[in-house]
Parts: sequence; C-alpha cells; structure tokens
Amino acid sequence: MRCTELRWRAAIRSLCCVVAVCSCEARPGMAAVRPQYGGVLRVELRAASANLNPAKWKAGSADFATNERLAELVFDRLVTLDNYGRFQPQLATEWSHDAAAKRWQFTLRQGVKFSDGTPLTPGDVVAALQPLLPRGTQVTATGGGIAIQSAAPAGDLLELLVSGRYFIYRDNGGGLLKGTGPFVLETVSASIREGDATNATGPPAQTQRLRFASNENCWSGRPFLDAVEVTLGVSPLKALLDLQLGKTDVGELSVETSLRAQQTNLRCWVSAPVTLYALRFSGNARGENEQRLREAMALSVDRGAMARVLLQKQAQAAGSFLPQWLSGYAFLFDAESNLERAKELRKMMAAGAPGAVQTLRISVDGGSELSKLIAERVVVDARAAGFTLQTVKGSARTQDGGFKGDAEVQLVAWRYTSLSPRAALEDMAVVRRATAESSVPAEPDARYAWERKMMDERTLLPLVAVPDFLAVDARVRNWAPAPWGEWRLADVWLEQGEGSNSTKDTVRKPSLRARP
Amino acid sequence: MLRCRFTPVNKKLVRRIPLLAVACATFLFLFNLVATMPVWGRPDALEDGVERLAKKAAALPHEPRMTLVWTNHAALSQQRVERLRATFAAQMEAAQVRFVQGESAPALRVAIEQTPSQIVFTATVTAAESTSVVIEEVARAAAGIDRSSGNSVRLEKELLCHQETKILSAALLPAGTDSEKRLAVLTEEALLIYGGGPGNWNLENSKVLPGPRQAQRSAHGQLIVAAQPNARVGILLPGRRCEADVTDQSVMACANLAAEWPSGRLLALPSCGTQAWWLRSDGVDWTEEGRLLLHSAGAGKEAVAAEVVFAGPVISISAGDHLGSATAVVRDLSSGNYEVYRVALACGN
Repeated sequence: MRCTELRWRAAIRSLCCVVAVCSCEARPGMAAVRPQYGGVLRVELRAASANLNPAKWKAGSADFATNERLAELVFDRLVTLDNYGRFQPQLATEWSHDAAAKRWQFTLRQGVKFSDGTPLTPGDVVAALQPLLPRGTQVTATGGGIAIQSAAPAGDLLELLVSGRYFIYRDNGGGLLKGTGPFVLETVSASIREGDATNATGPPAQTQRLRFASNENCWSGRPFLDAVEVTLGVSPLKALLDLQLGKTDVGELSVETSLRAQQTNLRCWVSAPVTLYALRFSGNARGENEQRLREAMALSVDRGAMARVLLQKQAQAAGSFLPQWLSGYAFLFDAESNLERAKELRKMMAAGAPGAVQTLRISVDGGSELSKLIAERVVVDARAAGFTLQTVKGSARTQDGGFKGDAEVQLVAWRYTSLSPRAALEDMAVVRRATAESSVPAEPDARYAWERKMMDERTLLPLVAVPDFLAVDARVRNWAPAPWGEWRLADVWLEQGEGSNSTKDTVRKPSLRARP
Repeated sequence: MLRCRFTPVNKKLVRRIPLLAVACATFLFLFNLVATMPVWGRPDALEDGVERLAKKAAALPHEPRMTLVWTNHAALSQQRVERLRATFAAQMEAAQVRFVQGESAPALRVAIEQTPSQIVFTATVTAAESTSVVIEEVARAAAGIDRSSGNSVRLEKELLCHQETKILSAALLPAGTDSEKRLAVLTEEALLIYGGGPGNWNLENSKVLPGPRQAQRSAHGQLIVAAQPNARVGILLPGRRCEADVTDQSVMACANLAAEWPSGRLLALPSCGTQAWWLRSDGVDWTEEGRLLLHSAGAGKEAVAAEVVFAGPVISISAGDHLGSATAVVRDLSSGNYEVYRVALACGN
C-alpha cells in the first residue's frame, strides 16, 4: 500500500511539471466552442419586396413571413419563446397577470436604447402595441412598465406577443421605424439582376437589396455578424445555383429545389408546415345540392397522395384549419378520401345544380408553381368523382389582403402567423369568409369543437400544409431557427478564413428538419 | 460512487469487494433517485393536467370496461409517460371505469402531443355513431423537461448540477480537510461557491464580478483552480484576469490582462500509467452535440483514445477534483439547460 502511495505522489509531482509546461501551449479552436465576430451574411429570398412596418402587414400572406423575418433583425419583442416551450424575457424582464388573465403587467428592461441612441420608454411600447393588439385590448404605461387589459380572459397573450406583428418600434414619421434589435437597416436599393438563369429569355428581373448593419449598442450584445445583406425577388432555382457557386449563404427554396439541394449535399433546413393550401368555395353552402357538392369535393381529394407524391413527402395532408404542430389536436380531423362516397353524393345532386353538369372554375391564389400543381391535382381528383373543373388565371387576393374573384372555387395559400391557436383561427376569418366576427374560444376542447363546426360549414377545405425550405452554406454557424420559422440571426456567425460552400460538414449533417 | 472506482489504493478494500459492491449499488440507486427527482422540475403540472383530463373523460359516455390506448408524441421520457398513464388509469378506475387488455372492449384513446408552448392531452371515446373528445393543455414551461436517461483508458461523466441560466465555467475545487465536494460556478454576473454534492448543492459563498457589465453575445470565462487545496480561484475574462478568495467575503480583485486561454485540460491518473492526456472539445458551434476527446499528450495529432458525448455543445472545460478529472459545462440542446459534468479518466475495471 505504501509503495502505491509513493508512486501516486511521484506521479502527481511529475504531472504537475507536465501540466505547467503543457498549459502554456494554447491551440486556438480546440477548447470550448467559441463563435467568431465579423463577416456579412448574404441571404436571398423569393418575395419581391419587403415592408418593415408591422401595422401594414397582411395576415396570412407569404409576404407577412418575409417581413416578419426581416423585422426580427431590427426590432425586439416584449418576450420570446425558445425551442423548449419557455417564454424568455426580451424587452420585458418580468410579467404577471391577474386570476382571470385579463390584466397583464410587464416590467420593461432598464437601459434599452433605440438604434438612434434614444431610450426606450413605456410610452414607446404603448404606441407600438396599441394599434396591433386585438380590439377591446387597452395598453397603458405604468411606472417602469406597461399593463395590457383585455375584455376577455387572455391566457394566451404571451403566445400572441412572441409571434406575428407584435414588435416594439418607434415611429418618428418619415416612414423609417426605429428598433432596439441587433441590426439596423442601413441601405435599401433596387437593381436589375443580370444573368438570371431562370429568366434568360425575358427581361432581367428586378431585385431589391437591403443591408442591415450590426447594432453596436444593442442591449443584448453586438451580433456576431457585421451585416446581413438580403436580396429579394430571387427565384428558388437561382438561389440554389447561387448557393452552389458560393454567391450566397442562405437561400429560400421551393419543394422541388429543396429536394435537389439535398441530393447535392447542401445543408437544408425545413420548418414546420407553416403554409396551408386550401380550397375556398364562393358563398355559403345554402342548398342541399351545394352541401353535397362540397362534401363530395372534400371526399374526392386524395390529400395523402398530394403530400406523398405531388409534394414528395415534403408536406402534410391537412384535415383541419390548424396544423398538428400548432393545435396539438389536428390528428382528430379526418383527411382521408372516399371516392365511392363522393360519387354517390355526385349522383344525388339535382341535374341542374351547379357543378352537376356545368364546369366549375377554380382560380389560383398568387399563381405560384406549387399552387398550380395542387390545383391541377384537385381537378384530376374531382374528375374521378364525376365533376369537371377548369383552372382559370387570376389572383384570388385583393390589395388589402382580402379575397376576390367570381370563380366557384379558389385555391388559396394561407400562412400561419401566430403561435396562439386562438389568434391563428381568428386571423383565418377573412379566408373562411366569416360574415360576422365570432370569437374563438380559449379553452382547448371548446376551440376544437368550434373548429370542427367551422369545418362542417365547408367554406374552406384544407388540402395540405407545406413547410418553408432554406439551404444554408456550410460556413454559417449557430444556424438554429425556431421550427415555426423565426431565424434568430443575431446568434449566427460565419466561419472565417475558408472559402464559402465547403462541404466538410454538409456531409455530416445534410438536412435539418425542425420539430416544434 | 466514484471513489470506489478511482482509488484502488487500500488493499483491505479489495477484500471487501462484495460489501463495497452492495454499498456502491445502493449509493448509485439513491444517487440516481436524488439526481433524477429535481430534473422533473414541477411534476405536478403534468399530473394535474392528466387528472383534469381523466375527470373530463369520465364524464363522457363510456362503457364500464374499456381498453386504454396511450400514445405519446411529446418530448417526455418513457418513465414519465408511464407515471402519467398510471395517474390517468387510477383516476378513471376511481370513476368506475375498468381497463382491460386482450378483450374486445371499446377503446379510450389518450394522446400526448406537443406544440411550441403547450403539452396537449386528448382523450377520445368512439361510440357507434359519434366520437367524443376532451382536451387539456399544460404549458411546456410549467411541465419541466426531463431526460431519457472498458478495458483501456476511458472517460466517465457524472452530472453535477444543471440550471436554466447561463454558466460560463465551472470547476470542482480540490477537497480540503473536510473532504466535502465544493463546486465553483462562474455566471455572467458572479462567482458562486456551492458545497454538498450532486442533488444537494448549497450556496456557500458568492462574489459579484466587479466592473461595468456590458452585454456580450459570446460571453465567456474560465475558472483557473490550483491542483492543491487553495482558498483562491482565478478567473479569466475577456481582457482581464480576476482572483477571488472563496472562503471569505472579500471583494474580487481584477486586473486588465490579456491572458492566453487554456486549450483544454491535461489529465493523468496513476492507474492509467504515467501517460498524460489532453481533454479537448471538438465542437463546431452552439447548435451541435458536443464531444470531449481524449488525446495522448504530445506533439502532433494523436489518435483519439476515448471520447464522451454530450447532448449539446461543450462551453468550457476546467479543473476537476483531482488531476484525473475535469469539469465541463455543456448546454443540453434537448432541454436548453446549462449542465455541469465531472468528466473523469478511468482505466481498467
């Protein structure tokens, strides 16, 4: 035993020397994970233009999502939601509510300044939130914070505030809003994109470029990136080519180009299914024939095949207004097709009823390639049940975000923009053609029953829910967006010193799929 | 637990291996029990939700004999789901519903789903012509997050503690005369000294970091601890070095000094021979799982002798309670918590 102890002590002595010598040796990059500051992140997006004023965003539109992502660079929210379901303080450090959840108190973080150096005040928060919050909600400044008073219990107020348009900003007039976020909008420029491979025969496409510089005095610390350069109006194919050539770092892709990107080992990121494609019928189903027509159409569409084959397993069949990741109960809705029953219903329709003999017109919202593909699939499925549909050109959307057109059926795309299931359903009133504003219950069972009742009205027939697709260059680090699409670029950094588009890590992790 | 493994010095102990094995097993069991309990956080939140669901489900039209079909799609461990199932079954049986298996009986389906902010429980009873559904929600934040729970040189890890707020660095202080474990934890604001042990850490002392506090996105720091029991702890921060006496209430002293940061930790253990080993992280960024790799200390790129994998990036590596161990701070990507591990070199059995 004594011998062992001596050996142990001798070893300790010799090791102390080794430690003393070796601890002088420092090998950078081998210790803990250490992000690097600097670099410009280049992003290419599909949307043709952006608007950073949350008050002007159209609920449910694809542009809403682009605007929200860019606004996250410049503005902060009162609270955020992390990937573990925990609400995290942002501009508010503490919050509480009364027993009825009608009055919420938020304490504001001290020492926060807007990008122009002026301090954030409770008055700024009131001015930003009051026009954005639902009717019947009052925001007032209190000592060191704000209070939000709603007429009905608002147990989901935090879910509401962490998503959508609920950013805190100051409007000094002149159109440019000031924020407290990690970046500052530096320049906006429009240019002609030359050599657009997807547009070789036509005129060169217009692109808008936005440059966001890092906010050195951001309350949450300077972001790692020096700047983010966003190019708008870039087609998915062009974005894919640019990624492969190292001309961009993040590119927005489509279903098709996402599959292509995965085959070429590019790092792809897929969000939760955030865009619903649905059929919208014109008018309410008044007569029995109209009811039968809609039920038969619902039963004729094979949503499963649409998601599996047409969208190559990149989408989810939708049997309800809200997707599973948002409501948690969508699986209770049936999305199965039943062609035989659809044919029976078709036969039961009166001979002169709309849809029984004459061709039904289906218009496509936005006219995107994906919308056209889905519409064509609906036409094929409906034909199998005995209906004749014809796709017609023309947007189903009006300038103010509403819907128009005299086609009997419209294919609409609806982007979910709230993490509150109640608010998400209320937002959909415009697309459901709800005549009177009906409030969605807050309690989950009542909300489920409400949604089922609205589904039975058959003004809107959900088809598939499709995620967002992005490809990310291998040198982009800390790329960890929320499953619902929030990018969190303040924490992203670029691996310096090597050429972009290296493939060493894309082989290790070629595809990232978000899970809520 | 670890002493049995690391100090085969006293030969009398070797003769008492069966006794020690029983003692170790008992300690392991108790430690595991204690270590797991706080991780559940507030277990009543989910169980309360399930109880409420059971009350609602009992009010639905149902048969006296039913089969319970239980599905979990949320990030909950099997163990916890089983507890919830038992709670639900007990509530339903109290309401005169008997669950049977292998018989033809109507199904009561319970599903646990997860949304960005909620855990959603649904119970469904399908009768001849209709389906009845009841739903309960529990905030994910209130539910807490739980975890699924050789021969040559190897690395062993032991979870010492974890918390939601950021930990920059942590180090086990060499045991003094009282042989009680003490853990130094460096946060963005202060140096905290805990006594006790895993599952039972008590705050003994705290020292606020002096100077103006400026938010840093990449806040980092490193604890420097002497190998011998010592009251003083060094702290490396960007551009300055601080020193604190952990036994008294004196103010921490800091000086502007651009010191080089250690690249890893050198480990050695008599039972592994006279060889020294470098313990380093091969992490890429904050979004990837981290590994600690053990390389033979020497020039050039040595082969990896052993590795230990974590559920998230390794934030820092500092001193352990002896030369054969280190203390690593890891951010668990599944829970978002910062975890402190004791990582120890081990050889033989």
